Amino acid sequence: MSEELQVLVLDDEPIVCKRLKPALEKSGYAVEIFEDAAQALKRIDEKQFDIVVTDVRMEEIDGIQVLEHVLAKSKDAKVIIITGYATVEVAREALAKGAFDFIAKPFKPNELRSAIAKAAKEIKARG
Amino acid sequence: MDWWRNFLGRKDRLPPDLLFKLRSARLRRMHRNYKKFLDLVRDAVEKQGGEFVIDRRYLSTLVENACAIANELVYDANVMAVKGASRSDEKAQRARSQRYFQFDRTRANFEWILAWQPDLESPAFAIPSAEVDELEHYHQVGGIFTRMAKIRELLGISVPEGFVIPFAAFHFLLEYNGLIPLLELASSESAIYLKQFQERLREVFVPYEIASEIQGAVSLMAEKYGNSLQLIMSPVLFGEECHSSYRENCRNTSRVVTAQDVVAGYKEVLAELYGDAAIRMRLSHGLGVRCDVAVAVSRMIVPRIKGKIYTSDPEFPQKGPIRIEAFTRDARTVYEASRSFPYDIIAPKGQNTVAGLSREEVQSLCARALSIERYFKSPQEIAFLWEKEPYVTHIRPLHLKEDVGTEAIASAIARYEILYRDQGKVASPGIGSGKVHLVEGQKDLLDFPDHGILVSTHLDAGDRWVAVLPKVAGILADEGKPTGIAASLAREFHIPAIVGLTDVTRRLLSGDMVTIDAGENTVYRGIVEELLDYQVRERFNPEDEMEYYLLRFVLHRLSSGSLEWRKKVRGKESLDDVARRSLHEAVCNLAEIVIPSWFMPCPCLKNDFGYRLYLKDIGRGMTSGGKMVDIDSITSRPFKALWSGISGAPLHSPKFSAMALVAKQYCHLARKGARYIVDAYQCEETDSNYVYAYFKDSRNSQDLLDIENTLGRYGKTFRTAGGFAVYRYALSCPEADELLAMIGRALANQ
Repeated sequence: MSEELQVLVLDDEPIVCKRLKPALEKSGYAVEIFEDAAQALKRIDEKQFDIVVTDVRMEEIDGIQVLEHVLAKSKDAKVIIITGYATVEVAREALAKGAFDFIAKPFKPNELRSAIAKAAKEIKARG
Repeated sequence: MDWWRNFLGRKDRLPPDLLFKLRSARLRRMHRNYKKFLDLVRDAVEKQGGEFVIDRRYLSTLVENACAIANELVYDANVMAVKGASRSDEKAQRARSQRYFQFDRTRANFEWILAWQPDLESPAFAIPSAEVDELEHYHQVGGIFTRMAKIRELLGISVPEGFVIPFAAFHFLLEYNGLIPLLELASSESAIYLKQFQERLREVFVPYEIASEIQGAVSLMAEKYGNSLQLIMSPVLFGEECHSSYRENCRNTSRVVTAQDVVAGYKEVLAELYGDAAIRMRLSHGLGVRCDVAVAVSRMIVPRIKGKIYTSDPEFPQKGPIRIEAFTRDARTVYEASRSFPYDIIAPKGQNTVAGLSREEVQSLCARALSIERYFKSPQEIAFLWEKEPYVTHIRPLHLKEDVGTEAIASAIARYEILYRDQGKVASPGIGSGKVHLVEGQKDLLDFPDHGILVSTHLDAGDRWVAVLPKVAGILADEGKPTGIAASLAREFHIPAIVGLTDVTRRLLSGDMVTIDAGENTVYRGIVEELLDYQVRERFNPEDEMEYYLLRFVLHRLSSGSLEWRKKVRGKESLDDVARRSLHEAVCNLAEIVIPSWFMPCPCLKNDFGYRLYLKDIGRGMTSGGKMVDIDSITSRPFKALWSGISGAPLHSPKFSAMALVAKQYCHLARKGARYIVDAYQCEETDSNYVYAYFKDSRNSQDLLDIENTLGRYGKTFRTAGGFAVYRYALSCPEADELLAMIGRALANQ
């Protein structure tokens, strides 16, 4: 499955990771989950992920910092922001900084799957 | 209102018309707020299905928003209640304080629920096991006892009878004996203080309040079982999940026969939990030194045979056979039986009764074990004791070794035909598969197969389905909503369910095999074994997750009627109770202005019965005015339903004179002299409608018995107070229509 898209999910709420992992795996993505942002950043440094799904508000390192870190490492990676603090300002900031999409909690995994599928399409188009 | 009076220069009294206008405007706002409250609850009920990703933040926001709305309702009710009384009026002041007090108390409930703390204000110190209910008692007695209560109640599996001494008793005992400071010192893991604390617990004085309740509970059991009664005690800590192996390792049991023995045993069990071994075990399971303890006291079963059932082999979990380890005093036999009915014994071959279990007994254990596995949606380890019948003494999930890779599950699913994806509404999460059984009427339920998929047009008939639900592996329906009764039932029985599929009864035939993945809102044709295995290994089950668990508790406290179809919170009000009462009091207050003012130029309803039924529109309840109005010009749904009953009644009282306040979704009807009052809120978009009907001096009349019977059919409870009050909410619109029509018929004869 070398063509499998590599997805990293980062959220400090364990339930989100636990819920998303099986949901995305059923769609054929290789999923790694992290509740700790520092560990996730370390993993991102070690491995190339196609798509990173991250919460915005986390202790110590927030989602915007993760977004910047991912894009600094690879311009091709797509970052999808999920947040329970969905405000226009947060969405605008995330999108301005290069986030691919923005999803407000609570959401259905299918909404995330559609966003990931869209991102996957772009990744494939770029070859 | 004093400032208004001052402002208007009318210190004594505002003109009734102006007062009415001001208050009806406020009442409209209250209705809008109540609608918002119900929307919020309905939205949260939909999240229970497990289809949505929710987190703690969502829960706290939900509670904050609901409390904010309820607070506004209480505030508005207080403003409305000022009436002609001045602010210094002591009675009015007391009533105002009371409303805020009730609201604050209800709000405080949410704080300990969200903080995941035990309920230390339990009204009882000995709760009979038969009365333990998950939503009501989880925070009083812990998860293990409530889950055992669930398998007894929902799956009909016998568990040892007894009672539970809740966390609150432990807390009261410590307070009474002044041990809390010592416990705090001991909590810092200081060995000296821990030792001291443990010794003090052994000698502690058990207050009369606790001892007398224990005495009462033991007496009840002694009456039933006579002198041969022996009891066994086992503790549960708050925060200890039924999945943990902790309980098994720190269990302290003792044989006791009298209430004094139970009291002594209780102290011993508590002290034991502060011993070195128990604390080490607690810490290794992520629990603190300090713990809240509930103690179960149950009848000791003297088994002919005892043992464990593993619904799957932990070492070889490829859906292997069921494994039963049975012990007698001098023999041990391991049985293996197939997972499908009739659960043929695979091993030991030709030795069916080595440890005393007959083929039928093995089958009976297998059926029970699989129903528990299906309920908890994961393989289980079940301890049983066989006296005259099998008793289950504890259950916990099996942790399986293997994992399924991403590739396997994704490609496996791709092979199957998808019948539905995202076309319905998820009512209850989980994965289930089996043979389709179309159900169109009661007779179709008679031959419902074990592990069948119940497919029906709609399932809002409630109780009729309950009898077969333990056999159901999944539910699919053409119609229905996640907030409906069927959805509540599915969640209660942990059955995956998707409703609102529009054509499932036409698309599927009885006998078709399907797999439902409710979490993904998907239905596959055929049995997707890989998906079933994946679920077992992945072990993501929303019902086991803290957030979904909390959501259930929060909803129960927000509006118990929206969640629990059979029971109401006892002794504690939900926020919906507070909100509704505020609304009701505000309406009564408004009615007090209007009802004495019969001379007010209100339209009268045209009718053939000579009734003088005056109508006052308080918010889009009528489309026309004038002296006389036709029923067609009334837009208030509850009023129309009520009137259909009044006008359709076979007999009519010769004198009927009443005033009704009508709004589009609301009606309040009071007869002159207040012999009865009907108060109803009915909105198409919600299933949380309510109807009150107060009848004075009408107890036991046939009409009221009819109402009672109808409520009973819907599994609704009601309260009687004074004359008679139908007191219920969480009614769907058709249910409320029917109820109001019946009440209308009763009114016509009053």
